[in-house]
Amino acid sequence: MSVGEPRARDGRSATITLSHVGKTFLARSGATIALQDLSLEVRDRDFLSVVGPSGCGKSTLLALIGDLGGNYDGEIKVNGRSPRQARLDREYGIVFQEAALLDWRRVGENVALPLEVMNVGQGTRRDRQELVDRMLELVGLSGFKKHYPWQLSGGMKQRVAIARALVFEPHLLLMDEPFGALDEITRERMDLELLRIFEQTRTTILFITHSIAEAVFLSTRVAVMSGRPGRIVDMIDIDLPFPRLAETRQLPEYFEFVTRVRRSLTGA
Amino acid sequence: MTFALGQAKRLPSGGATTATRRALVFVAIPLLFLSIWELYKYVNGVSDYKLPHVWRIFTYFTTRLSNGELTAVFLARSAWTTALEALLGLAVAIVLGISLALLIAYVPKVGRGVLPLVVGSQAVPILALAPPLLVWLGTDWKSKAIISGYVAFFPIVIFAVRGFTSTKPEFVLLMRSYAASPWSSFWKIRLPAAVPHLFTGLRAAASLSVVGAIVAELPVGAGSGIGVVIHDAAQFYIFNPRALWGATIAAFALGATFFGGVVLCERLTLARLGGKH
Repeated sequence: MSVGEPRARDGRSATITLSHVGKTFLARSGATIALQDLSLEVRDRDFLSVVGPSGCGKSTLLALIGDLGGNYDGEIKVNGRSPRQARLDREYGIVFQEAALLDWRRVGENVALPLEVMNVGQGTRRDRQELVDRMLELVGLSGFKKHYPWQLSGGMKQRVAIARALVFEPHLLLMDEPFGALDEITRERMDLELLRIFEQTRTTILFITHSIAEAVFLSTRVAVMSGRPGRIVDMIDIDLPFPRLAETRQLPEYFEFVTRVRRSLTGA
Repeated sequence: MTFALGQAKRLPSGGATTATRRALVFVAIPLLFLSIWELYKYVNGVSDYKLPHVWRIFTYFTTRLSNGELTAVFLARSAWTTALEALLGLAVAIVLGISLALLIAYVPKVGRGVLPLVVGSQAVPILALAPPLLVWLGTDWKSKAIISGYVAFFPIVIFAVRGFTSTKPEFVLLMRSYAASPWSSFWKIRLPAAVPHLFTGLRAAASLSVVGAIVAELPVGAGSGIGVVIHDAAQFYIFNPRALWGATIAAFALGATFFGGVVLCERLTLARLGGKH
């Protein structure tokens, strides 16, 4: 893995295809069908948001793609491989709703965690530090390397989580309602930050949210899900120009897309 | 308004006053305890050979034994012997306790069979087990360390199991997403996350290891240690009650020192692990 210049793509594209995927949870009280006959394609360099009501199976979908959710029916391919193989090949970084930072590690050490586990920059401590520094700069936390997680605000913690997910330069970023626990103002600022990071790194992003406005503002495409059983009911290309700025939220086209997604969600 | 003023007055006086207040508590509580002792003695007319005066117990430390040795020095020497045994016992308890906890946490199929034995071990009085162990292993430090470890390991197992199994699910998923080896998951996530629990168990085990070492010394007869002193003094309590109370205070001091040592290690470790747990 190179250090210094931004990642040069090695020809592989980060694509995900799901065909007729189903997931059933078995419990003593009976079976719950979480996902049924779900087909979806995430293209290379997509920012694809999955939006849907609580409990519609969006997080289950993300867990299956990341091989964190057990067995399923149908077929899932991540860069042409099974999710399990993609996970073993360290194809994706992941961000949860909880920042899940290790309380006993400083910010810099938290970002370095995947590098240590994966033995990236082995033997060259300075390479590792350089990668960490570059990531902290990317998320705007250069001055906080020595801080502990409890000294940071919710938004800052989530930035550290993003830096940690991107530090080993995965092809794919899986985000499960990453800003769901933040207040509205912080959330809008984080949306802008994430867009900047997306444009800078050109990493393919799969983003789970229940906010229509957030999905439209961030995404190149929005997949609308309905619940019980979970399936994709609509796929909407968001043809808003990049770079997207705070002013983008005032464009009439933006409101049109928001309305469209909302109609899909309510089934009107 | 008055209330608000009172609050404002109290707030800034933090630092020095809190420290003095804390020190006062350390003096006041034992004083209260000793006053109750004396009050009880006075009200019920308990004679001195049953319950000696508090000050008589404290002056006992400055008396000399028949061989001319200062009592305080003799008790300190005995406590030192017991301390070494208890320290070894604590080491045995840590190794045994952590090993069993790892087995219970990571190999639940086997652990399910182990846990009842661990719990059952606490129902067996150590006084019944100590004599056969001493006959079997001999009366040297090895048997004492094992008996002390046996008495002390239980809280370590219980809290370590809780520590190893209470890792946040997000951490587990995160390590899974890195395709991390079980080994690196353990060292980087499970062990550091368990540290506060491990120290809670260790605090309880510290004092128990001292109790265990003392009990192990009781049936020996010969040799040295606080247990030996307690054993001898108990037989002659009516003639010299102060000897038993003096040994009791020495045992108390030893247990408190062990506890304090663990608390100190805990503070240093947690400070290294981010200072906020």
